Amino acid sequence: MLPLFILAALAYGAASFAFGAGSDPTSAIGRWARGLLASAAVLHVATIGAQCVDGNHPFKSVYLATSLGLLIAVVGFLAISASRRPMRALGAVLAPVGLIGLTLGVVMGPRTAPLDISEGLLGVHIALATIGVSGFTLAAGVAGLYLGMERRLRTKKFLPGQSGVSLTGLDRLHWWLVLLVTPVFTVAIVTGALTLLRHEGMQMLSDRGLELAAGAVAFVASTVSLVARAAWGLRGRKAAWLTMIAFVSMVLILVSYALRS
Amino acid sequence: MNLLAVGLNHTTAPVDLRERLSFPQAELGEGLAGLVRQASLSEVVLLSTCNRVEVYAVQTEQARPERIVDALAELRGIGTDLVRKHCFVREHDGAARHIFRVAASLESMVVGEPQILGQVKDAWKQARERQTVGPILDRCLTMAFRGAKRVRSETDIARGGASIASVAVDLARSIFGDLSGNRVALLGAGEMARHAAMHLRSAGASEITVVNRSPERAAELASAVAGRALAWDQLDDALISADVVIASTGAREPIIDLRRMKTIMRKRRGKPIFFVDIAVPRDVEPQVGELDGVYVYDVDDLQKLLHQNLAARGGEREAAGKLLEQEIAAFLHWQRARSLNPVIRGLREHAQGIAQTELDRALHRLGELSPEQRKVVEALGHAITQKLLHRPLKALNESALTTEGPDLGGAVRTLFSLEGAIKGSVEDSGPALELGEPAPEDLASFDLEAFDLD
Repeated sequence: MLPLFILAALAYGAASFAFGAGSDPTSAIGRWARGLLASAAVLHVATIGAQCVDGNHPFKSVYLATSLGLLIAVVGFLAISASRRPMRALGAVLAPVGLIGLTLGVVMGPRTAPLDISEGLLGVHIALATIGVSGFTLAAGVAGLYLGMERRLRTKKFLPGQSGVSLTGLDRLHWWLVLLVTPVFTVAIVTGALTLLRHEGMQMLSDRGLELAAGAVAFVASTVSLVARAAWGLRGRKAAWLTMIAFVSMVLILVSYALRS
Repeated sequence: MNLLAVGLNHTTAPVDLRERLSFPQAELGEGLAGLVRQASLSEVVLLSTCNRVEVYAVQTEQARPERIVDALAELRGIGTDLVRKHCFVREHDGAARHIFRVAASLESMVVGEPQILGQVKDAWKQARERQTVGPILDRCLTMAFRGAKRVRSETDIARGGASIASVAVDLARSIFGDLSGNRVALLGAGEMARHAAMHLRSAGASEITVVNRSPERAAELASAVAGRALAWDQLDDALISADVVIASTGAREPIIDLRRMKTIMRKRRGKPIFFVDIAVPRDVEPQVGELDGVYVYDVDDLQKLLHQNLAARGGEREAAGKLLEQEIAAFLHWQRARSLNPVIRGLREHAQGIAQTELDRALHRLGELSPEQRKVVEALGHAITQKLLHRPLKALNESALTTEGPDLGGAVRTLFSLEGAIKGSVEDSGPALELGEPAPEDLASFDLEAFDLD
């Protein structure tokens, strides 16, 4: 497993460098960026596979689940980006994020107290939360790109032809991601709350106050974004900020979990 | 063979002279025939655009570009002195360089503009149809087209719009992506609005609505841009449905203020809208641009972007020029090698002729020889010829790679009195030497045929 981890980490590092340094998409290094990230993702999958063989499956700990979630986000990025829609800024963020996920899974994952996923509800929670984490990471990345491009357009600092993707294209992509992720994440929050309630009773309201509040904020932010779009056509800047709020709340939940474990 | 580029363009002649000298499409054939006849050209391409009237030609005799200038003036009925005063003349390498740079849009008024490549291609096709293109111009232009493509794909020379209208279209694309299906509203019926609308239409905008205080002018512009006209009191309806609005009215006060736009944005359900405000004074209140989903660019913003684009193109000119030099050098190598082919062939035939005569004489004097002995004598003559000619031919081959250094071709012609032998083969000099092919090092196995790739 160790050689796979080292290779994956090197590939992620190289992809981060290529996305960061090769800002010009026509530069040789820029052209390699997506390929390097794809290689890193393949090696990441292989590393998780090797961990499974060792008995450390992805839902055994928060770190292992986070590693899988961030891998899914990277794969999602590779799926939605293309040579004519490079979204290089998002790649530059996701490549190091993937490396962090990989490292957390390998270094911290097996050492933390194993979760008891023999209980079906907890298993469902972890699986859905993993998908939710990856989806929100991706949606927040696209929202970030949107906000950056929108700001440059508004402040007249945007040079046409700089980005391979249009503002409305980013908005639409962001909306689709939130639309897909919100139901998954909602069920993840509900199953997580139910599991806690079963184990800790009403005491969990005070013990897990931060996580519950963050979960509620993430749910409200993403749901408001969808409902307001359907009802009043809310989109663009405000919708992107709502996704960012949901993403930050989700990160808070993860950090809280990690601190407890 | 003299390659020439002669003519006038926006840097050498005023527009009225360019207009008078230009050839309408229908008269190009006649122009080509007239040039061939009057200037004794073996090959000619005539490029006539709004910015340039240029003749690319090959003269077999001594270069006399003034005959081309005179022919041009005569064909268009303009005074020779006036045309001569504004004409430029480039010969040999300079002519090739000029043709390559024109095709790559490095000599255009707006560097990097894409139309010129198509115009040069059209001129080349016209000349081919009328059979006034021979091997030299054909090779020169096809290599120039390749160079132009490389310049466009490997540098940023064509990046960003080069006019206010094209900058506006680029911005609209950045906001909406593909413009097909987008709706455009024109507020005002001025020439700038018409120009921008045509750009948006060619970029794929599906519906154009003209709103103007004067219904007649609105209807006139609507018909010119294949759109529809709306009355001035239907302005809000136009703003609710449009994606791109080009405002160019002559109003003294802004006609789109914050309050009005807030109401409209509610009705648009947040759909983004892009205002191109080219009116002075402005038609759109600046605060409108602070609304979510509203992007307002006035004429100053567009000018700023235009200047940035043009500066970037100018900055790329040097890189593009360097890249183009590789293609120009390749063409010049080909041309020089081609001109040396008859010399090489003449020298070889001259040497082989002498060797054969001397062999025949020697064999006659030796009397009866066995076939083996005869073979040895023949091989001796052949080997001496090969070895003697190896270095001169190699030097000739290498001299084609550079314009510097002595004229070895001319020297060989003089030294071996090859003029008579070569004359007949000049017209049929065939393909050029493949330059860069290593000359045989092993003299024993060296074959003269290696230098003649006919």
